Amino acid sequence: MTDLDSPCSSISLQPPLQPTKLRATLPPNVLLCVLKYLSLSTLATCALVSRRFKVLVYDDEIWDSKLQQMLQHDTAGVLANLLVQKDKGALMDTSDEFFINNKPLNELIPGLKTDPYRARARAKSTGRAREQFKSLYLHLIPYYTDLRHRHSKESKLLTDYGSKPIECGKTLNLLGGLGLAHVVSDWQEINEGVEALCQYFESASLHEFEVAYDHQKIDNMMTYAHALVALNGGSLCVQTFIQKHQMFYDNPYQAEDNFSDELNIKPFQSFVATLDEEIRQQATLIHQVFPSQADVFYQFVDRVFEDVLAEYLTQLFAMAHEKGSKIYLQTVALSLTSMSQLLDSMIDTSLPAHLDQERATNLLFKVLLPFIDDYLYEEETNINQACELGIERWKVKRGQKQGDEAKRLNSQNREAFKRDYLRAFKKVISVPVDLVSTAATTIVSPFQRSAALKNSDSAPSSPTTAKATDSPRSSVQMARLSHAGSVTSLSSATSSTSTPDEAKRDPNAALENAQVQLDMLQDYISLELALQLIHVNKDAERRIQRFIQINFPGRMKQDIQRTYENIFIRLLKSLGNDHIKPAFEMASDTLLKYHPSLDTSTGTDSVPPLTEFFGMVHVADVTQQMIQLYYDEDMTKFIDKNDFMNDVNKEKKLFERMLDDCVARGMDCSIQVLLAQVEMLLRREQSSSDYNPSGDHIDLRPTKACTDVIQCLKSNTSMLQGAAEKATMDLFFNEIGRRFFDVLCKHLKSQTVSQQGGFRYICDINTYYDFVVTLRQKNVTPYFHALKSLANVYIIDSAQDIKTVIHDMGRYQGLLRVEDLFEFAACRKDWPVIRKVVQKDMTDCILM
Amino acid sequence: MSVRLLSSDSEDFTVAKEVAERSMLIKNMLEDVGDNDNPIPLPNVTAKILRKVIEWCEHHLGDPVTNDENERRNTEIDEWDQKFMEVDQETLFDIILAANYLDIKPLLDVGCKTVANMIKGKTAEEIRKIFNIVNDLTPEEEAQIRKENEWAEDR
Repeated sequence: MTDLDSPCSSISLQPPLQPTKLRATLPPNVLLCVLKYLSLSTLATCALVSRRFKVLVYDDEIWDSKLQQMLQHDTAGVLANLLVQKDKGALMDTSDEFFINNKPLNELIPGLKTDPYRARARAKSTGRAREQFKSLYLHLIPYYTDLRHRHSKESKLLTDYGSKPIECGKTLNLLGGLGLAHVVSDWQEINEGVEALCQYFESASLHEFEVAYDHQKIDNMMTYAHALVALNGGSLCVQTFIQKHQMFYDNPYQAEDNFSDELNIKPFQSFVATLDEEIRQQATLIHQVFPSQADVFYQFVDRVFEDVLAEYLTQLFAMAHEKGSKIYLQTVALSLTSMSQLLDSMIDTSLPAHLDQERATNLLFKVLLPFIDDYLYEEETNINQACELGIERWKVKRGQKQGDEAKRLNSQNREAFKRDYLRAFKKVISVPVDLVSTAATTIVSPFQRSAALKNSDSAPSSPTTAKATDSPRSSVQMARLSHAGSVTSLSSATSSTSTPDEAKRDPNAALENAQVQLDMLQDYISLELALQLIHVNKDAERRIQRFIQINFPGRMKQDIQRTYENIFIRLLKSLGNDHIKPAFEMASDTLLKYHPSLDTSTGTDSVPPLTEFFGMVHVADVTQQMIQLYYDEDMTKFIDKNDFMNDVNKEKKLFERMLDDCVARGMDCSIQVLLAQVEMLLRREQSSSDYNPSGDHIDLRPTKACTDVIQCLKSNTSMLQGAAEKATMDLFFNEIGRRFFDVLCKHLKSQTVSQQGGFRYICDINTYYDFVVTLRQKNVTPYFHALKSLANVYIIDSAQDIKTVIHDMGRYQGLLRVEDLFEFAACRKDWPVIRKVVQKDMTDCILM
Repeated sequence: MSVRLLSSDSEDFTVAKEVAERSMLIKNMLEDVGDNDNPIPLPNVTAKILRKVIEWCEHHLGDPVTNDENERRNTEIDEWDQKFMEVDQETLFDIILAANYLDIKPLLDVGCKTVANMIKGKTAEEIRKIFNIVNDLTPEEEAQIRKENEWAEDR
């Protein structure tokens, strides 16, 4: 007693039997550990040793551990029952001590000695565990010891429970557990008996189960299934049940049935439908026969997937692969759609047996796992090829086109044409459904495609029915028609008379025709190419989206997402770096090389490279809008718009910036070219008699030079309206206005103006001013206003008044310097006469 | 990499780190302290016992760490351990206490099993002698306990 009370004490009151002097004895937790190894009878003896020992022997920790040992293979729900019976303070709730770094608190704080017995007492030992063990033990021990010498068949257990297989299975399971607890000395022998009885019981029950299965006696099946599950989890029974299903040895579906008609996997779909049906039926049966904790439905579906579906898929995909990567990709995507039906069935809560989403997804994932890597690889390769091919093909076509100069220039109203085209195209493209329309468009056969076109004829008010692939064509038609001035709206375009002709022809030829039409419009950038790439891209993304939606676990999810992003990035790269950027560089080069020519044959108001460039800006803008639309409609489903670290978003930013840069650089060049053209026009058209007419007749119309210049500026700038962002355009117009002002001043200063000509001069200036106002640039307009005010200088008679006008700085809002004003005044025809008067005042002015 | 251990009677032991880390106490301590040349003082363990413990740890160095309850419940003791535990009772208890203090679970288990084997089949009086305990139960209590444990008698 003393020793136990104070474990550190080394004095013992009783003289020890052995000559050794006991200096220490064991702490209670160690004693508990010792007691756990003792048999029941020894434990009973230990309880008689002392009060302390009795407390330890009755401790929950010992009996909980024994219970756990007994019930560790519990498949009949006994443990669950026990846990419900006791409140939560039960099984192994012994660690009520405070632990820091795995050390009990009192060990960490030196000098703090908590009495270990009190710590034990505080940990609530209810004694319930011992009671529970006792009742289980007393229930089982007669059957257990009964097996000591007897053969299994005449055991007490079978006599008592022979008619109740489920109870029998449960009890046998517990006997097995009791055997593990080594409650009697000859446990080894008895355990063998238990083992033999279990085997006997299992095979007998299994036999009964099979008989019941063959006769479809669900009640019997249920009885023996439950018995076997209670006995040992029933894995053999489940295996038997699954294997007996005819699907595994007799299934008429062959992968070869597919592809008989090129792009059709109907046989696969019906195969999946059959599986689906079968799974649903089995769900009901399984629910009737097996207890839910046996999880048979999962195992069944697992086997179906592994043995039936996976095999089929392997063949199907292999065959599809041979047919070409496009068909392969389609097949994978379509089969995934079919299979997600299965997924839906599995998680259908209306079925008596169903799985939760995660496990069902995992099953599907297991089946698809071997294919996904291949698929993703194929998808990316396909996109790369499509992009390269598209760009390559287009380059070739453009190369041919360059020789075709005449044709290009022949279309006189190109600008109008282009504008209309763009407007129409924008309409088409801004119908969101068009880009979002059915994903499987590429699989649509040519026949279907023309059918779709006819459909849209019959239903002209619903342009969305037109397949996405048709949009370039229809928009071209539209553009052509609106150019003709007869039809402008989309619906009327598709319903117009020319469309059926178009549709009746071989669609490919029609498409070809459309491409030619398109390529005439874009010399550097091809909208058609952009559209084509976007479509190929979108199809791929659509396919991948289905994978994303299924939400596969782990690494696959990331891989799929990455591929998804890569494909979009690839689109941006091809369009941006491989297409638009070189195009703009080429255009800028051409612009820089261009010199305004006096060749009148090209017309005075058009600057070919400029027109081209502005058209290109439009096209680039439309392309960018298409991308934006595509991004908004499709990509944002699985990409967070606001995630600025996301690769797609980064790449898109890059693409946009690249486009802006290209446009800006091109704009710079184009301004130079435009102004050069203006300068040339002014030089060429302004005759010296314009402002210095010989006769008395006063012509109040603007001079030809003026109208030509304005025409030139107007036609070139108006083309850009809406082509780029407003800020960019403002910058552009501002720059044009400023530089135009400089050019104009320089030009005007070189003229000689008479008084009669002065009126015409004013007239011109007014016209310039009116034009500049239309540019709506606040910074620029005042310059021309100043010019307007200045022009009066030419129609004033007296030199005195001239000087007043010149020195009235308020008139010019400080935008013209006095020196400039004098230079302008010097243009007067009578300048040599009045010069003295005006300049003298100037001196005064300075003195003042 | 080796670790220095200092027994309560100031004997200095140098052992391989892996050996020392069989003790969770030392392992945690090393993690807390980091590499250090100073010996770790073990005030509860004498040189004699520490030598034994180190011997055991060295022999069982390659043992897989088992968390399997069944493995631990198994009452069998392997031959080497049996030999190792053939010591006088005082030493045995000291080893167990040291294993408990140093937090070497497998050694503690072996010790407990050995003690359990000692107790097996003994009478209450014999058990009292082993643990050096005075019987503090009244005859009535004794009768009561006997009654409560009738069901656990050998069958």
